[in-house]
Amino acid sequence: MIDGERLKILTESAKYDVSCSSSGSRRANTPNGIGNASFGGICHSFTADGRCISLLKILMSNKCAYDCQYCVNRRSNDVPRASATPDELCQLVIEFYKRNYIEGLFLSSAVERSPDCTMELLLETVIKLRKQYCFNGYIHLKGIPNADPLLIERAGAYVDRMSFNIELPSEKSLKLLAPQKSKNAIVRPMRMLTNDIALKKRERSKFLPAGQTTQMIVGASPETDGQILRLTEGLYDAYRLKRVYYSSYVPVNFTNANLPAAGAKLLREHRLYQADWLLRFYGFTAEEIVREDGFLEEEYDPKCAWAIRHMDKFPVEVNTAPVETLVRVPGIGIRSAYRIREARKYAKLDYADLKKMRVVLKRARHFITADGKFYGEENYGRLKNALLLAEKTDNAEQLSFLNGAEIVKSVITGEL
Amino acid sequence: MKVYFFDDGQTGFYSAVFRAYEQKRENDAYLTSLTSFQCALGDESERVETDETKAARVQKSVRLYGGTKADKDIETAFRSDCAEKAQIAFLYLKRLLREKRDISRSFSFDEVMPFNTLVDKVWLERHRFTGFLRFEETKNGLLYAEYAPDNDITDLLAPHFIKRINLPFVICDVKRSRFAAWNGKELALFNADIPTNVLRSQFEKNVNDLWRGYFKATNVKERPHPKQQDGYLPRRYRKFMSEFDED
Repeated sequence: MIDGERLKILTESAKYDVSCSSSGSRRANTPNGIGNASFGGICHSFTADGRCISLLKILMSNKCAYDCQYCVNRRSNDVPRASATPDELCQLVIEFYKRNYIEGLFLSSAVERSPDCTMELLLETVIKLRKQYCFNGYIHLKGIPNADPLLIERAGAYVDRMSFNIELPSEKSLKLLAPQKSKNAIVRPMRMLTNDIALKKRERSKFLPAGQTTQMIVGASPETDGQILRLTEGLYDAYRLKRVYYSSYVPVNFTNANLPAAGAKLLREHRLYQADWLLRFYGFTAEEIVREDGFLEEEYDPKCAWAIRHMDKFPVEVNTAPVETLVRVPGIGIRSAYRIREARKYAKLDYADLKKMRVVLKRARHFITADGKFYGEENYGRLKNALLLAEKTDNAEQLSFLNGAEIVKSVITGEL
Repeated sequence: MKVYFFDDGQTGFYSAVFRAYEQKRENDAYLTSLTSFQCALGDESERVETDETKAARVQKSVRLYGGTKADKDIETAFRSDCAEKAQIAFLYLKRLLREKRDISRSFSFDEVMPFNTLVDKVWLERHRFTGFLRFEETKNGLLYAEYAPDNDITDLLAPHFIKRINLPFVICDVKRSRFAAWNGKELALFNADIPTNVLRSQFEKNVNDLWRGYFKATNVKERPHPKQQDGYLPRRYRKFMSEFDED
């Protein structure tokens, strides 16, 4: 079994990968196996930073041949190094899983020696885990750019989800900050896996049931929110990704002229996630959400900001508006829209009914009528104030993220 | 008001519902299984004996109008720790019998959201414990978990682990002395005394130390967010989760 010291090094180096989700797969257990996957995902604990622990997030090795300037594991950085063997990792997963500590494994690695060597070791580990240890829980495997496509494809047959990190929102920034990686080396395997998933689905064989995700660092390079969201939109459309994750850049190299001295605001990350939600579930396009100067408003959430720019579309009547319109009302989410759609089949809804149905009206009341009656603010200036206030009461929490003098010691992204 | 006391659980509840309708007191009835319930001055009260036949007649009507889902939901509602659960379920059932159709999505009815919330809370807690339950390996190779959920969810929780762990296990709700035991073939659900001295396997401490180390290492110290942590993982659950033990 792995020792505590190496476990610490290998998990501390992995923690900056944002994704911890264990959702999207319905893998069943086998007669002599252990584990299955729960489609909605399961959180097993929550750390003091408020993040969920679902998977054992770990690197095979943090001995990296690359020197990506934003990364804590870069070759030139003086940090303790370690690696683990496939068997050590498999044993640890089984022991943790048995005790219900985790849903499965999130396995990644620094590029040790070469991309092929690294990918081979990752592949060996997941095959071992599935075949020898008969593990049927969730596996998220990080893909290594520039590794042999055959290795990558083989891994897809064993794991639930794979991800190649876009790292930075433009090719130019990638060249500048991660010269050993190229856009092509990241996007090519992504495209290959997208095609494979479609093909295998038709053949009804199991291949990446939980699809692909990616991650990019925000604020290390000069791209606008608009560029980031259009890229995100493109990734969803072209590669059918399940999620795009963002991580705020935090400086680790003050001497590096290519990187900003100040970290990105976590509020920006938060707004991007809200916008990402609008793209995936609410039928918005990147073009609609972003302001003319290419950025998202800081003061309001993106849906609210969009609504303020389009007051001509409001108010909408809750008893008749189609669901696509309802979900565009600030404060009305997918669940509230569903409740309204169902409830109005049986009875006309008034304002009191909406309250009873636990529709949050703090923002929504300014954009709807209920049975013809309007309960919002008609004066545009006062309306904006009311919405600002709503935002402030929500955000008191998120802003406390920003107490980050100490953040300097770390970097909010990590390995490949 | 007439207060009907009944034996906790779905059959007792249906028996009381039958009695209230039989006496034409459904509109001023209050149903409870809590013996500690204090009647107000001037209230009448009655203790209703569980009657399978009468209960079955109520159940038949519930299924006729609300489908098996409504019946299942009432069963789930009785796993809740909410003191008002019987009355909330009774009001829902009354409305169901009046509307004579499925009302589970008539969210604007006064009776629907409180009842749905009651049921949802039980399922939410059950979902949470699919993640928060912690097994320890005992000396004889059994997986053993203790916990103290708000609601009586042990029976609902056990099947989740049967599907994923091909090893014998025991789940013990220490609050209710309720056990789920799986021997690899059969599931037993029963009440018994809490075992006092469960011996751990020799690997247990080692694996547990690694887990506690991982829990610390994976936290991003520079981004503390205790409120979010408390929201997702209520403090009362942590007593049985070793990653929160003091060193």
